[in-house]
Amino acid sequence: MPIDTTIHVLASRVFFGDTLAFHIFFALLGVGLPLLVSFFEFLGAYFNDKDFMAMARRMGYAMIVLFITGAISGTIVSVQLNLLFPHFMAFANKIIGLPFVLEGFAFTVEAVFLGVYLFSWDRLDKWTHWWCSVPLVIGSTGSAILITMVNSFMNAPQGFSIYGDQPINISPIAAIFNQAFPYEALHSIPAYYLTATFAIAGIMAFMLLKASVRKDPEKNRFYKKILTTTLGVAFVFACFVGILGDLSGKYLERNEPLKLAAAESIYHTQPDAPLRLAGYVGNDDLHDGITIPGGLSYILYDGNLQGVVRGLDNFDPSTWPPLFIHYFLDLMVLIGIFLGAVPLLYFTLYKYKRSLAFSWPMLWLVLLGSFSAFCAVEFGWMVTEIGRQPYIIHGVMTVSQAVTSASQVPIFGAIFPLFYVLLFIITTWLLISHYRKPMDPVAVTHH
Amino acid sequence: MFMPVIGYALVILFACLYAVTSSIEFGAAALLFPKKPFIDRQSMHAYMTPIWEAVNVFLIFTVVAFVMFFPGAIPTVALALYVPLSCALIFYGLRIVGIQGVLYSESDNYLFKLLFMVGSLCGPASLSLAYYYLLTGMDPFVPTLTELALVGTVISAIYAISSSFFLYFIPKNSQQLRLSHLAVAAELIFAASSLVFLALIAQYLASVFGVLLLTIVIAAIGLAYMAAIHHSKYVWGLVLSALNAVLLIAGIAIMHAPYILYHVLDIYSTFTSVEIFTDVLIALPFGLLAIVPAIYLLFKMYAVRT
Repeated sequence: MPIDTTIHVLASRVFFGDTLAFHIFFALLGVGLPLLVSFFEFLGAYFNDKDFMAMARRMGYAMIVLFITGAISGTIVSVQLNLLFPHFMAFANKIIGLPFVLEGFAFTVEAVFLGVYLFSWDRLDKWTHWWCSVPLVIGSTGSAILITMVNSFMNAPQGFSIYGDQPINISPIAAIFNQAFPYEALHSIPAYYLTATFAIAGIMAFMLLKASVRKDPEKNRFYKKILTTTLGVAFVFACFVGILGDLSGKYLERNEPLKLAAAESIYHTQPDAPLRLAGYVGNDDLHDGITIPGGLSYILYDGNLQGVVRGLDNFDPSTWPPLFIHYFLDLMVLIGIFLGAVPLLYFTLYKYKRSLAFSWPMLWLVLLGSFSAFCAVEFGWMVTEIGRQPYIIHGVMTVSQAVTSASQVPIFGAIFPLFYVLLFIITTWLLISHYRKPMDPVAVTHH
Repeated sequence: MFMPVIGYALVILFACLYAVTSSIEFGAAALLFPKKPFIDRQSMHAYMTPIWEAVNVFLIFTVVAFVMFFPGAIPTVALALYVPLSCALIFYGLRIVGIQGVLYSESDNYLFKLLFMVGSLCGPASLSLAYYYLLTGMDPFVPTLTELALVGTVISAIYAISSSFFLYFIPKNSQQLRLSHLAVAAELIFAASSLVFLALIAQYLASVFGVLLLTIVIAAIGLAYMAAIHHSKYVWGLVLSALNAVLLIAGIAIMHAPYILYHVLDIYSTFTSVEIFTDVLIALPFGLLAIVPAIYLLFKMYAVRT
């Protein structure tokens, strides 16, 4: 019986999408937590502060458990990329293979220094130990940057020509440093930091909601201190992510206008383009949405309402991505604004009415921010990946050209999500079981 | 052209490094599993963490090196090996769930040990089926004596290396005698099954003389290994068991060249672009400059800790 190509392509997309969604959840913590741990330890060492030092030490267990989960999901991603989209990998590896190799090095440095860092707490003086966290941060962030290089190449391919079906005149450096790379990297990496920071803030808020913690002056003081610190860091990252998000939008208008048109529901090329929010995405227009006249041109062209925004009518409809990415973009931006507003509100209350800063509504807002930050990262990746469809390499290769013809894809596509659920449950159980135990106080050594 | 040969050599090197270092942890799963385990959980935790996370990077390097140096092989190999490689991924994942429970939880739950063991044995077995296909071009799902010999070789090598490791690093293990018996039995099975395997795949290899030489060397090292274990020279046991595995992998790979998939794909027709190869060769020393001191620091800390 011949394979139904449509179902086949869809199964591969869904399967890989599941895998990526699961991996991103843990990978972003693997990128963000080392930075936070290093930051806390720096504060602890610099100010001789036992609270920050204790926090850094306590986060070590989470780092290693999440690293393990992120490593296996990352291995699955890299192998499945070859199994599900072999024609893409056969083509692209001749051009953009270098970041994969470099990512292996970055991952190795991260893995090695994770071990060095965690098992040398009582063997090295405070500053030498802190310096061990630096390669850990470089390795984890470097891994993310290098994989973003590959993804940005898929969105903005360059550094080669095509002869027949093979790439020629290859320049790996030009392929790596493509036009999309700086925007993707500078927008996504701080977003991972922001999410990890909000995750910690959310845990602190959760603890402060517990009656047993509120009754204990020492615990109360500790959690409030860490909450305040993490929300301060989160606000900085939120601002950075917002600024880079704006620049990313402007980049999209210049270089990936179809993706922008789909995400912003701009059906007709026009100056004075409206900013369109929510609504119901139809094939011909966005219905019942909120429209801000001229808003999109104003944002993309720095106040110039005459700036022309290319609409979907400018492109062949067979190349349109799924238009529902509009919802993901709206949600991502809304959450991003929320993640900036929560720390702002917190610090305003902290300055003028401190008791309200630790009231249960404020703590619940922090918890909501913690959860929604993960959603924002997932939504952002959906915009960029689904927004590139039907291409796997924009303008060069479609997903249906890249995909495997193995008939067992739907079967394994059903099995792997079950495994991801199991891994998620076990990882969560390990973390909860461990952190239920009380913290050990840590003496700051003087060297 | 020497470039594909260099790429092939690097893939073999990473595969050998992975096979030896990962065998310690794969074998530990089976050593821990019985009601009367060969090693206790605390000892396993002390001697495996933190290095086990680092050695898994060799698997990534093997996969990355293969797909990057020989991208032309991906479509054919990925299609033919979709099932065994996907199964290997699932088993590896189950192994990770087991490791998390065994190494990082307070509970001594039997289910985690079971997952750890099943994943640690079935994962390599799945990869063995994939390797069988690459060596012979035959359907990996039609059971043959060659396949059985290969799986037996792989599993016994894992047991031999892992047993040797824990014999050396846990000298006061209460199960020392049992463990040494297991190590000797594993090496005997390894020698026997690898010799059967070599005899059956000789037709797919370039040199009959090479097969004979490899057979003699493996048998000799196997005998030396048993003598070393008998005389409690456990460090030699570890070195010899690892050496036997490396010689088998490297020897077969050299004699199988230039084929990646027997009679269908070779290293020349599937090779990557010159530009990528050149850039990777330039990047390699810089990467090693970062990795080698880091690994040295980790093992130094590991030695102090243990």
